[in-house]
Amino acid sequence: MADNETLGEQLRRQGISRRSFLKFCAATTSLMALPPTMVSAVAAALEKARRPSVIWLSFQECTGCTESLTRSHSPTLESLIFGAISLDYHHTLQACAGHFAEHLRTEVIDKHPGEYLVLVDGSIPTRDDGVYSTIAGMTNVQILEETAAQAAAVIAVGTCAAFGGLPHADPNPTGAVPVSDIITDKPIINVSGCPPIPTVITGVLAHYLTFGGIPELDELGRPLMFYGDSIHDRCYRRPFYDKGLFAKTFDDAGARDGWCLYELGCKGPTTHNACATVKWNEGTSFPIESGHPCLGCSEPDFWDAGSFYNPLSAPIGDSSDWAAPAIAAGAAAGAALGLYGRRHKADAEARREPLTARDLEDKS
Amino acid sequence: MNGLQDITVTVEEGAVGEPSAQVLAIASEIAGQLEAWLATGETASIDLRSLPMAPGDYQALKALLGEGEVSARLEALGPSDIYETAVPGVWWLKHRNANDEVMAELIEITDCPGILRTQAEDLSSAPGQLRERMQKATVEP
Ligand code: SF4
Repeated sequence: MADNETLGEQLRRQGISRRSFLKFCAATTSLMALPPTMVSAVAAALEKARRPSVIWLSFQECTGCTESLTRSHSPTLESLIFGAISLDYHHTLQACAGHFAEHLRTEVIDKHPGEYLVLVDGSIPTRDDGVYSTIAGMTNVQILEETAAQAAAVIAVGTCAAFGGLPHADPNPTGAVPVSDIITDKPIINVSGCPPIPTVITGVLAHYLTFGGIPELDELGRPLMFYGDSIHDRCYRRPFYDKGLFAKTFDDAGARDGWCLYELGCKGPTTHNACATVKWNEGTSFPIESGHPCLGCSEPDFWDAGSFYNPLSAPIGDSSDWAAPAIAAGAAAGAALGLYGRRHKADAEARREPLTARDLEDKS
Repeated sequence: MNGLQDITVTVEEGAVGEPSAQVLAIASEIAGQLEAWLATGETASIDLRSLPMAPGDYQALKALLGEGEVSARLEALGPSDIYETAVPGVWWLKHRNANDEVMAELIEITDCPGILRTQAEDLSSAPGQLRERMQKATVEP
């Protein structure tokens, strides 16, 4: 595609009919969690959109975020979105390596200052001068600082890039930090989740492409359109929670009848994400629909919040699986609804605060 | 156990039975939108992916709305199935990609979904296209 060609021109050149374009716009509008009445506005904006350059940096990560995106189940839509951006640098996907790859990265910085997007997955090690992860002789901190300096915005893909994630979990041997601890002078969009829902990643890209700006964010830097509601707000098991009907084990009669999974450790009340509506695997289901409590993977420090199978009300450390230092450093799972995940480290007393499902309801 | 097919899955009787409160809520929203359309002429649509649905709700909503007289298949970036439900003016649209995977699913409250109409942008090249086809049909053996 010519550098200055609009998306509309590009699609017409490829022989895409107007109906196909409208269908693409309907899917993109749905992807961005906008009401369907916005389709014509989205169509008008996409028609004129120009393709931004994207540099994708992978740091301390497991490649799960890239897997989530590239194995997502709407390849046509994703490939159209990816056709609409110029993915110029991505370790896992690029064909070239070594100096050539690094040259591409610096070329984008030089050619499109202030215009390109930086996507980051993985956290950044800072301990011992960042030696725990280096690329082309540069530490992750150096490469991130150099690449983000001229970027229009940075999108932190996944909980590791957004909040530190698993590498940041106690005892955090590499001194891992999120993107926002390193880059402080650029807009940062946190697309958390371990991994994030693929359509949420493309939805954020589509939003940038369509409207040329960053979407409205919550206090943790996450797009409100996807992270505005808690899982609990939108959970189809909520009527059981409201009636106080809880499954006690994974195979009791309550579990079979689809009762609420709160007592089995569900972190839905304190977790903000779009799983309950957008769902996974081509909209098939989400963990709670498959009978497993929500782990809270899109919230900061979810890994240190005690056992996945302890109710939110239980003090951290109930489980014998957890070593004492991990407990001491953990975030407070027992703090009141909405506080968990807000980087509040409650004191030990608050951590032992008894909280029942009823209390939680009263507080909400 | 060798594979997925060995996991026994029992579909409970009456799964598509009584519509749940959620299904009834969507249905009354549709009823309200039909009334608004009659009163103001303003059409509406609902993105089915934006709604929290329990297992079985989707099927129950489909059963509740039924199937009407018109159904159409669109081939554009993959197939789309579009039909009018048994309730006049309520259309169900399911857009799939070339791999047959669902890209979007909507209910439209309108007399005809816009995507079914001939598009003005495509119409402008129509006479030329027909002439070209005529020429090809006569020149080629
Ligand atoms: S606690 Fe979990 S399973 Fe229960 S209603 Fe809330 S989100 Fe759903």
